[in-house]
Amino acid sequence: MQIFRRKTKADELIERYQQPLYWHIRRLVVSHDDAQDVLQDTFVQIFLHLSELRNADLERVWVYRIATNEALQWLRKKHEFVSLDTDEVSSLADSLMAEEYVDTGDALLLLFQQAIISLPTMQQAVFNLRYYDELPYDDIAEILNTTQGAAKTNYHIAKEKISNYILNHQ
Amino acid sequence: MKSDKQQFDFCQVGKQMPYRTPDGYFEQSAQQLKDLVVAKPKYNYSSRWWYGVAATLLLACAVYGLTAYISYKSDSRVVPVYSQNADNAGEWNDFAESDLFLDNMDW
Repeated sequence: MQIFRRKTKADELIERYQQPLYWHIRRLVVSHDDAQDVLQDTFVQIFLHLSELRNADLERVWVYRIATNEALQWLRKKHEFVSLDTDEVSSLADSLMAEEYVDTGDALLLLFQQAIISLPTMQQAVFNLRYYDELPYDDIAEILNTTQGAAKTNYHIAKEKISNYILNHQ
Repeated sequence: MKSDKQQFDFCQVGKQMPYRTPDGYFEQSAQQLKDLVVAKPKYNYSSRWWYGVAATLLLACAVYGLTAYISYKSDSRVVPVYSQNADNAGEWNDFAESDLFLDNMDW
């Protein structure tokens, strides 16, 4: 009975969050293969700690927090640390061009993603969660363990930087 | 005050991304994830439960063993009467005969 309940819950969560979490992770780690690995680790963590989720209303925040932590942990492992060094940014931008599952046909879309990748990790995560996932600032603050005000500020700074990056590189 | 600074129009891009996935990726991935998460946490859950039980049993055995050992050591300091051999019996007799208290008793 417990296994059956667990299986039903697993199916439900995978159906609901597989795609949004995949895209959230993919925007952070860029490569499809890496996103796939991080997504698997994320779901393993979700089910290992499922009993800790007391409030069902916080489910979305909780799963996004796990996915974000897994993606950032993975980035730290891969690059030792996530920084905004010029070399680091150019290597991430290069990896975007070298990635197999990237459509290189639209130059503006590529430039836009390169601009996002060039942001510091916190601004990148805030921008993606707000712009693509349309999450409210209080949820973003919960996911990234920050304040609502800091999330708003990071979003506006990120938008400004992306705008400048595109205008400078067009 | 209105800023004259040129801004990028985000509507030009919208929510489009250059990222793609292999064909049928999400269908395959969903099944893989279901197999993975239903199997893996179940193992971890039960193993964690057994670790708790095993640790408790081990601790209980250790406490019982320690208590039994201390009790055995303290008991072994008193030599039981039945364990005295014939040589000791002679000494005990001499002691009893020379005992002032016993000599003064009105039998």
